[in-house]
Amino acid sequence: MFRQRFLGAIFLIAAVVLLGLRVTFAQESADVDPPGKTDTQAIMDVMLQFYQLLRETPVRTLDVKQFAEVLKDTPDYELTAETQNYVSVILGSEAAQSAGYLTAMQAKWTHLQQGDRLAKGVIEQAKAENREVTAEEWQALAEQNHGKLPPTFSDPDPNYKVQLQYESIEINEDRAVVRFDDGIAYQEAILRYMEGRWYITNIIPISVHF
Amino acid sequence: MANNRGSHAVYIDGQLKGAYGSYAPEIRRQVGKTWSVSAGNHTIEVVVNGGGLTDVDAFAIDIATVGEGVYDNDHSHIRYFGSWADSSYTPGTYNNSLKISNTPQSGFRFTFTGDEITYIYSMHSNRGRAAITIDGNNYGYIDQYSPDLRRQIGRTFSGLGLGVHILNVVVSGTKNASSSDYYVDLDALVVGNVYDRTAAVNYADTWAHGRNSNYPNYGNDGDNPCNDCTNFVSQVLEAGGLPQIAHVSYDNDYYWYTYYISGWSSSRTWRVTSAPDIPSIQSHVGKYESRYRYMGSDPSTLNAGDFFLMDLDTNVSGADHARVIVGWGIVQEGDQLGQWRLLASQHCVDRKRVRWDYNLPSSISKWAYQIVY
Repeated sequence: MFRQRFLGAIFLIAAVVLLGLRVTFAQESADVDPPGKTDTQAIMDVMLQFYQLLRETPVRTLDVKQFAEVLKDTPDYELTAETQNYVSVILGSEAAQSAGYLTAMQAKWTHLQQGDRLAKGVIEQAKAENREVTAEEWQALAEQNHGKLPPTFSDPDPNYKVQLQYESIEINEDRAVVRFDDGIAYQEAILRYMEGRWYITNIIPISVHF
Repeated sequence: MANNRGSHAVYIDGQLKGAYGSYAPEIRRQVGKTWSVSAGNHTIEVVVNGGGLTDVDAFAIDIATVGEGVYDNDHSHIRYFGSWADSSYTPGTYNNSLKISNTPQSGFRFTFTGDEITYIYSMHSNRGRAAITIDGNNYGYIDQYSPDLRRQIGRTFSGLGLGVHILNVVVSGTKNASSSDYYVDLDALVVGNVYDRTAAVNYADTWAHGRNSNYPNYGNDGDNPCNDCTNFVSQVLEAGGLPQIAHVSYDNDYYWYTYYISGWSSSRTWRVTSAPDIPSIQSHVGKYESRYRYMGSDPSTLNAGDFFLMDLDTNVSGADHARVIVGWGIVQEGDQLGQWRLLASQHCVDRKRVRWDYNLPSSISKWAYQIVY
């Protein structure tokens, strides 16, 4: 019992010290992140995790709930009326009320998955009948897909590995601004330190260079 | 053709060519069909089969015909009958001209050689239905009514078979209940697929790393922002022969143009890739089956002069970028240099003859469009 109390006290003191270091130097993270991992490394890890979900996972098997491990809804994401309406159509009005980057991305990729399934069904049917998908069928697909022509997705090239080039990572207490290049666009990511770890709360393209 | 007509059989030199019905709910004058024969003397016989009247208007021998191309409404091979007028208010039409009639039984016929014809017309609140006949076969009606004005709408009739065909269009005297009149118009006729892919690719090659001062510019390579990708694709399409649909007073999905009034500008369909609730090239292409055909998400099925749109995977704005296909060839930029690939070019970042899928992870949404004009 004494040993448990002693260890508990030591842990509490260590946590307080580490939290203090976090606030003071804004470099060393504590709590959930493993000891010794810097905020910079934690931020890069969460960025990589998000992009691996996006680009190394087949769209058909992507679990959009996993976005919650790396994204958060916060006011950092400017929720326009158009986006709120879009989220409401895809995920329902309740989700749209407090939508941020997490919910917006879940809506986008839920929509894309639904469209992918719809379109592949029609494409397979046309192939089986040795013909192309007709304009009328595409039109019907768009109507089923909330007015948008549904793109389809192939599985990622197994040799493809996400490579993010970081220009800067500026950390100010619980907020970080990351400028990086994801190979397609030079972007700015906003991250927040919440619930013991960093989460992406918005990504804004600065210049796109497909 | 009329509602009291029956059927007849046609023999040439004693050989049966076919049996044809002439029934139509309304009167359609100067309907015709052609048969090719060898040089020399021949005999044609028309035998009444009954079921109604059969009439003969005229026979034409070695009738003049035209091949692949765009034929404006004043072309000499378009033969009008009845009462037609030149419309005085026609911005946005092909060559800014239009012929129009609201007199039932007025019509035109057009003899052409080819497998496919596209009838280009306008839609408006005073339009009625045009009755379409090709080679004596009833192709139904084109309802030209629309609550708003729409220029250069087209209907393509394909699979006609190689050879000489006669298109016949008449003012049916019927209309949508919401229409204020029975007007039918003719803007132009397009025989075959006339998009000049070589010209389009030549333009793309010439200006992949430059900006043509004959057009507006929405950013140079290296600028931030640089938003010239869709503007570049639009220029390539026009270089291939796709006509602008112009009206400086309108800017909706049905228009696609540039204009110069103390400076260059353009419609949003010309320059915007995609955006919620405003015109863009993506919303425009969905309106014109006579110009564009959606091919799904696989740009590798496209040909030189076609284009595709792409969506950044980390935002929810829709398509962000456009790239034009320039055909198969040797990769000149990007990776896989020197290899034989299907190639593409683009503005912002300016790239010339990269492999079509250069820099595109599988998570990028793609919409591929074929030009069918």
